Amino acid sequence: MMMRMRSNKILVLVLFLVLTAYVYAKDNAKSAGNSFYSSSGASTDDIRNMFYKANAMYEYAEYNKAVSQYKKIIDKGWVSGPLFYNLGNCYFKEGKLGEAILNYERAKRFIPRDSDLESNYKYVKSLVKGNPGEEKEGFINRLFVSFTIDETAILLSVLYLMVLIIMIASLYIGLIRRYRLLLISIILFVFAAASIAMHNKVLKIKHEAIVVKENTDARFEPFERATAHFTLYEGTKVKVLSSEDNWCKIKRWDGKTGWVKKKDIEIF
Amino acid sequence: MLYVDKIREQRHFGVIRCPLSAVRYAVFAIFFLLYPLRYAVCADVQFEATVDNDTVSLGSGLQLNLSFYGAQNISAPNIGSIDGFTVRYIGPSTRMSIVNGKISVSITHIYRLLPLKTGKFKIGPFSVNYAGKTLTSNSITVNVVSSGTASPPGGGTQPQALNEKELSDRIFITMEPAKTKAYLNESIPLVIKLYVNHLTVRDIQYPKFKHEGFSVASLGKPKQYRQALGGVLYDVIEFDTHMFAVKPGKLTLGPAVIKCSLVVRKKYSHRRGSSFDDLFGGFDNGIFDDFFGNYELYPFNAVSPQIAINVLPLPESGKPADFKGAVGDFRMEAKVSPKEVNIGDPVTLTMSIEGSGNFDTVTCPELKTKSGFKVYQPHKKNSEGAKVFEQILMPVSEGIKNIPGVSFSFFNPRDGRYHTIKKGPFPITVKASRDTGAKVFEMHAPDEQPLNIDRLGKDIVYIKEDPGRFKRKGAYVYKELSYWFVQAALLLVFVSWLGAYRYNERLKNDVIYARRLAAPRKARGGIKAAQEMLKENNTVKFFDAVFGTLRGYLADRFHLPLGSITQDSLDDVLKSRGVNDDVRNKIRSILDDCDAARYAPSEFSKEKLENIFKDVRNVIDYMERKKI
Repeated sequence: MMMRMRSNKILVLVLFLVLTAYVYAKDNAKSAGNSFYSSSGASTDDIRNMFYKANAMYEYAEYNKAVSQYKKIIDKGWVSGPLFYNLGNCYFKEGKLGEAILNYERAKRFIPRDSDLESNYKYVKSLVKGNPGEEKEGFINRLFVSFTIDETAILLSVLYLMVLIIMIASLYIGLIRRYRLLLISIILFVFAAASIAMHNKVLKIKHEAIVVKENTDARFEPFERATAHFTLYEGTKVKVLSSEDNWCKIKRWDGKTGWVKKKDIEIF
Repeated sequence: MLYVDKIREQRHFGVIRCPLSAVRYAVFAIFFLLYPLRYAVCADVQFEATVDNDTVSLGSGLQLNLSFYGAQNISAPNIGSIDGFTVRYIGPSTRMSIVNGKISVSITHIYRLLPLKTGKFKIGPFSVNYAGKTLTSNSITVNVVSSGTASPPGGGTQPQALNEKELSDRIFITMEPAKTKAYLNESIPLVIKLYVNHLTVRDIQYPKFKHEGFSVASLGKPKQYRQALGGVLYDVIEFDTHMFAVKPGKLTLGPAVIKCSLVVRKKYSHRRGSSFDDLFGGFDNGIFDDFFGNYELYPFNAVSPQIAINVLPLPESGKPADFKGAVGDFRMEAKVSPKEVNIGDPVTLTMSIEGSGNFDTVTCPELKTKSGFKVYQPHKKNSEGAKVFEQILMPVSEGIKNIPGVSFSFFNPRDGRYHTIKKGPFPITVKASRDTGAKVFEMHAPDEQPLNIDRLGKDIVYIKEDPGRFKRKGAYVYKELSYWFVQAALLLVFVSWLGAYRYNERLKNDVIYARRLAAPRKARGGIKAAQEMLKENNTVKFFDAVFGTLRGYLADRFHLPLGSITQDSLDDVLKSRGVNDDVRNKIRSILDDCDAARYAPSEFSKEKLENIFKDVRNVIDYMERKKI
């Protein structure tokens, strides 16, 4: 009995520690509120107002003003899915296919399940010359395509917590003990898949690009005088393999690689 | 010079060493010391007498409360004898409450009155001299009836039979509008109060009432307090709301109904002897009957009387042209920002209307003219006692010098007249847009869109109105320290949980481990006992304790059956465990001494006992340290 009490004491202590940790983490998240998600502070009210202002300009077909207004928000360090979506709309209305697709792509990283975005993206893409195909995504990436990076991170955390809970519960509940192996292996499988997807998502940041110049030639070598390999049209999505001072080595959806000038594409 | 320095040093010390909290305490202490004084000085003291029940039966008691509001230093007034009652002073009860920074204090002196005969008796008025003034209370009439017809015996805490007449005195509701004559749309505060006297009421629901012709705001959180009414103390639950009439004429409000359940003692409660009842009267009912479930809930509807309200239509004479139905007493502030814009940039005109009245009827103030501007639908924000309108305007030409003025008209029911507030015009500077193509922007520009995609028969979906959740550029959850912190914390819980579980399991299943683990703790207890015996010079008991402790410890430690320990077998075990000779000899000598002491306890001097005690401790310490 005495022993039991001692171990219970330890448990209580640990729980207390963890609680403190959680509170700390929460506080941390709160204090980081300014640097992470927006809270309802005065500065974000300003930003919202800037957003509404830009919307009003769009309404009056003042697209380039709206663009500069939206960009002011980004310059202040704040971003959101609808912001990039609206920016994409502005560029499209101005006839800049490349920038439009670029911003829709950016928006997709925030609001991947948005149907408006999906429909605009598809429509604008259909206007891109050269009829670019889509690079085939792997099975695992396709599974998690409609999750953002943050959502995947939280999913991973939840799965991890589930494994721990099942292991603890299996000590006390016979039914869970019997199916423990099955349950845990299923969760671990999902966990592994989500980790891979997350890894790929993170890798894509700053390694994808949209061609923003009307016609640009991809060359065999990173020089102006090098032989042109193929032509890239505005709005084509490419993978960035490596980059030197002014040149980037890119890969097209069909696997062809070449060097293009950095200013002709926009990496995101 | 030296002297001066010393003084300065002292002063310096005095300042430094006086911590803030001490100062605070001192301030509080002074405040509280002066506290009664303050109230003695401001002699605005009210004196009130209340009873807990104005109908009482012979044989049961009555509580008389003499309350002084605004003072706490009034001693119990000598009320002498009251005709028809014996009086006993129970004691004082003081109360201090701070509501919205306002401190109120009171003292209540409680007396117990026992009626001696039936009839109507007047209690009070009582007079008390306080701070040179004579305070006089109200008087109360109490009806004493022969037992059986009034409230039940035993303090009268529960009604035994539900008598309609009696109930209506003990639970009822009132509905009080602030005025019974009001203008159309005028905001009328409405108070509904439920009075309860010495009844247990549960499941009180929000009042419902007929309010044809009125629009009523939802009822707020009820307030709860006590109030004396005709000398009887009631528990009051107050519901506050506002309403306004939506049509003129003579309207009736109510009746208001509050549904609740009365807790009533069952009639067939098992009877105890009356003497027994008297003995435990007052509290036994609550405890025993609750325990045996002798209470039942009785649904009850408290109904208020109807109230007639005369609703006057708003006068036609002097009605301003821009009057939109606002009724109340309002003020308006208006401001414009920014004051300098380019053509096509939005200007926000903020108009805030404050005051009291019916804000539902307040609409956005009218702009005098809209020419030269594109005017958007105003945004409105409601808050307590204010309504803010944000009107976005876009100047469309360069020549604009100011934003047109606004006017807001309302009817003030207090003076029965219409008022109009005018603000502006507000001067602004409008500059030509920087880019030359500013004229692209015309009122109806959709057919001038730069990209003519109509021929495709398809267009993009409109922009999003809401920006969603803003996030720092490049910020991700997985990059946050707190994210990893939480994961680590979860792992820590898991590992410690597992550890605790393992530990418990081992204690349950591994006897050797459990005994060994328990050994030092048990030994500690024994040593303590031995030490006490040593202090008391009780040689026999000291040796009992030492022998028991050492033997028990060794048995637990090496998992030996307690009975089978003998000198030789123990020695063998110790040897095989690698206990050194010195310690083994000590153990042997201690056990020998224990044997010897049984026959000749007087041979051991205090010094010797202390040595033995020390040895026992050393042996156990050695074992624990060596982890044998």
